[in-house]
Amino acid sequence: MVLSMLFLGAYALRHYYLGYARMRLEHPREMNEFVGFVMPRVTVLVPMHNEEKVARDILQALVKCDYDWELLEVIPVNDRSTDGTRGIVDDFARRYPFIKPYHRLEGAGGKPAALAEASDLATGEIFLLFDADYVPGPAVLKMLTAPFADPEVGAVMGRVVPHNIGDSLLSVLLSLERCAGYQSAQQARFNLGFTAQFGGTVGGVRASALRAVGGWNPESLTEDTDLTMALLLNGWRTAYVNRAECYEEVPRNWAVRRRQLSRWVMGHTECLHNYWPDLLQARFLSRREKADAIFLLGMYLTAPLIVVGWVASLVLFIIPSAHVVPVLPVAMLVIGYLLFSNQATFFEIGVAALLDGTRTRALLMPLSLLNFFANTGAICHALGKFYWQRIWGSGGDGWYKTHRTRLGGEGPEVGAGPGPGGAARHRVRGLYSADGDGERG
Amino acid sequence: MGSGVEQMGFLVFSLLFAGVLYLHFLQAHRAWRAIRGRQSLELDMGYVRMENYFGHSFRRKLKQWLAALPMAPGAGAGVRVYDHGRERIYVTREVRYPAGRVEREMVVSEGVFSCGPNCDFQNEVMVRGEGEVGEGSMLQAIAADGALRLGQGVTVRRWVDAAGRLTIGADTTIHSRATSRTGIEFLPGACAQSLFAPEIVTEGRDDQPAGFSLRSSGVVQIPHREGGTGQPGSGYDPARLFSMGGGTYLYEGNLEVTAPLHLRTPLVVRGNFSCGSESLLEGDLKAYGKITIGQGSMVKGNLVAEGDLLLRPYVYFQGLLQAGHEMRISRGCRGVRSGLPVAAHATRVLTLESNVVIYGKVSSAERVLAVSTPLAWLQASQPGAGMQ
Amino acid sequence: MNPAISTGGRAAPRTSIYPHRSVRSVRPTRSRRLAAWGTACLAFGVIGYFAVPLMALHSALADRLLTWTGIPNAGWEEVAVFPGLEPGKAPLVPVPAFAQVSGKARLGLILGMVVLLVMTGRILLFRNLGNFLVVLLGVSAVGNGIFDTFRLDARVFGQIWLRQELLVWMLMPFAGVLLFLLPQPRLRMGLAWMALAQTYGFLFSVLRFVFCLGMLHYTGLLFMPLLWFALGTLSDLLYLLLFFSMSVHQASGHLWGVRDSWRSQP
Repeated sequence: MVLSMLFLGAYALRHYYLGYARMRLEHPREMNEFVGFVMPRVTVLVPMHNEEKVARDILQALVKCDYDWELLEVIPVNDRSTDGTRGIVDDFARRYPFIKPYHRLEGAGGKPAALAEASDLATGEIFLLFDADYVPGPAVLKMLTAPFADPEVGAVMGRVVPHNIGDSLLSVLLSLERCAGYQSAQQARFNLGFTAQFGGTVGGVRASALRAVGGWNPESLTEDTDLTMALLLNGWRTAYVNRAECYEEVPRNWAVRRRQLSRWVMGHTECLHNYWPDLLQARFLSRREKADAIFLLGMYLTAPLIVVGWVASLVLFIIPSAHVVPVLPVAMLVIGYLLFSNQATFFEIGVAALLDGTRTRALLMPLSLLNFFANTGAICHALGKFYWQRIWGSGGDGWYKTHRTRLGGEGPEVGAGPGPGGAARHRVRGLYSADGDGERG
Repeated sequence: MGSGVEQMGFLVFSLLFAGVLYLHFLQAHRAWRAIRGRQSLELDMGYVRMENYFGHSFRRKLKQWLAALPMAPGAGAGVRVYDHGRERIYVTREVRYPAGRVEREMVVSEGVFSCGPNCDFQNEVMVRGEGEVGEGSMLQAIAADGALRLGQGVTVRRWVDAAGRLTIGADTTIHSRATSRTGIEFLPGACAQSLFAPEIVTEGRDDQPAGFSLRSSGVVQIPHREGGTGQPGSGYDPARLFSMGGGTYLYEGNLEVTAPLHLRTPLVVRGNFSCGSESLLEGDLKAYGKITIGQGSMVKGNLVAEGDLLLRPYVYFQGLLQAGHEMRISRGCRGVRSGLPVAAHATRVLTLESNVVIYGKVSSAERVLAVSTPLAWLQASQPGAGMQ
Repeated sequence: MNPAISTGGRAAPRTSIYPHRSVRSVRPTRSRRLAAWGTACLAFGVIGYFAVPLMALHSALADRLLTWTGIPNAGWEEVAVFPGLEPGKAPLVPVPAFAQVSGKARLGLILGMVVLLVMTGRILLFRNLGNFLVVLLGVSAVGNGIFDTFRLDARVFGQIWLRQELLVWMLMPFAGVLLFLLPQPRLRMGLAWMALAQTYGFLFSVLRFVFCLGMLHYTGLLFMPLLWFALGTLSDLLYLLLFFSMSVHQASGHLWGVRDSWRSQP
């Protein structure tokens, strides 16, 4: 009980610290001023497995990006699709020479394996990644490449913003969760000098750094977290660009969400087991950086401890011997812990909603308690499964693709920008606009 | 337990209590009903970053307003007046304000714009021709389609954007961005939050060419050449150099090289970094502390300092400069590269000395400041004078 | 020098020109931070100093509600809350043993479990919480059946309640610093939200306490694990979240008001 309180208390303090640091914008690291000034050769990798509903949207969005086409290569990785994905991709490739599809017909399943093969074909200095259901705005590529001006940056992470907030209560509650995770936690961690977490989409990695750490780990369920840690151990950092925003589709029903969460939990915890000894001994990391990395990897372990806390509180309630008059400071500590620790994650949500101006959504915070309980249960279940498999050696879950519900053309539109016919006009988009024409948004 | 009446009392209370519990979710419920079925519209999906975003946005808005707003009656000869909410827009062929004039409304000059000293424009000014602002004047913001000259001691509360050449007079303060499609002359004592133009110059420009060639001996190589052992000396200890993989190196501790340095790969220094004069830095460099680049050096990569960044005189840089604290670009420095503009950004004050030319952008989260170089420095600092 | 907040000149700054939707930061000044923490310490001291009258007021309000709701109470007995603190008062509401619990109450328990199970089936997001609550009810039923002699009288329950809530009242100002005083752009609004949450917390505690006493009286310990879980510190978290969400809503409106007005222009 005491250990559980200490562990959860430390996480709660971390949430408050990050939330408050983000609110104040302590030690801002501005890479935005370099947007458009860092133009390396870029390869955009888009893993696709049966993505006919969304493939056209993302390819169209990439065509509209304001990156110099001569420095751009887009590789849609058609990973054994059995629907119309191949046709869509080939159609775009015929029209745009910088789109070079890779059709994967065999091999191990899953995004990491597909990425590993496609990365061998890529010619860019920087690999940018987007999941097929994401729709990047025209400036996102330049924004994501800007932090690579820093030679220590091995990877970069942008911000994902759910667009289907009105699909279900779960969608909107997840949008609050994402809001806190990116606007608050990721930004604060990056500003405070910790490595941000590479999320595997709306992000990028330096090709040389990726090769230096042995490429994508096809064995991992969360190849992005695995890469973040591998880079960190070699001295590379992951930068975070809050302004590089991209819409995503969040799960609209709990069954999909539970499977997504289960993959994250198992992958994350696997990374914890794989990396914690190396992290503790890492020569190039300070003690606070080591602590932050372990906190990051161990975050899902808080869920069973929360349940332990609830059960312990109930047991204490019904055991008569526990009703003796306690010492005030000890009781204050316990109540303080109960009051503050559960509230810590909501503080981050509130700060993020305040900064983003998502006023109406902020009002949903009491309902996000439901999401909190749902997550806690699902995480406990996934952890149970993980440790069961670890102890008894049964086969783990394969890589699981989050189910998409969007129909073609239903997603958010890229507001302005030239159409396919205007290729020459937007080959190089300037940093200075001469007049009021061609305004955007 | 209890009579029926008692139980009824508690039942009513329970229902009320359930209602109170529901009230905790009422706002959330209403919010959800407002959101249900909607898509998020929070992102500006068409946003493309432009350095003259303010001027661009203002011109666009003004164009819309002038096209849409009705003209107000009672305007004088040659002046059109538009009511725009609480403010008015004056449109004239040209404007020449006397000294000390206070103008509360938005002004659009379709020709030349000029004002005498100590005028105060409390709303935006749009100039279709050339513009000149008298010393000591105050402006909210100004956009010009021609050249624009801000006199000495002018204060601009927000931004300045000119299609022609922009001269920012001595001791002038621009609280936000200054941009020009042609060039910016930034005189001593002037400050702004950022400057962007194809060419930014400070006073005393001297265009004598200064070629760069790396010395043939006495140069510290990082990493050491193939087959070499990398001897320690001149402030460099090869034992503290580690490979991060991918051709990037990490140096543990301060790297303060007193001799010329030839950096051939990207390097991360976990401490301060400095190099001797006439060094050649081909790879990107990051230092956890301060970076000092020796006089007459050539910097082909990017420089990122968590602390201060100092370019000693006559440094040529072709990449990006970033300082987590202050940055000083000394006299005679040049920032230029082919194909793309260069950029320098500091979290604190960025100081430009005289005879600095930068093709691109200088910006700061606090301010960019131009300073005069003392005469004694100028005399002693011809290229190759070896001053550290 | 964020132009979005620059002042000077009669016209409002045209903040939409600022190219991003987010407010970059909310930075409480040093004096604000000092004032916030000072206020919290002061409130902590005041509540600690007036702990006994506060508990007495809590008991008096609960007594009035007990009378109105018809829950029988044999009186109020002094109970020790914390060493060194004058005792508070706990009610003497009769609580039946499991064997004496009415058939209606037992039926209510089964009905409660069924309702929860139906809800978990229909609302997937509620499934984990619902299942946990069903387990609590089940364990409670089994536990009551097995340990029939176990009693938790209203006096002890009142003692535990006062002990917990007094600490919540004392610690809440510190939560208020983080939730209300620092994020709010205007200190007076932060203070108002903090005072509101504090006052509400006190009154809501009385309501919850009386409801639990009623349940104790009519159903014995059958529902107590569930009620202790749901109406204990979880409820404190709930109303704090409610007030926090409303204060963020209001503060956000203040920070964003100028932008919205700009957007509505042609």
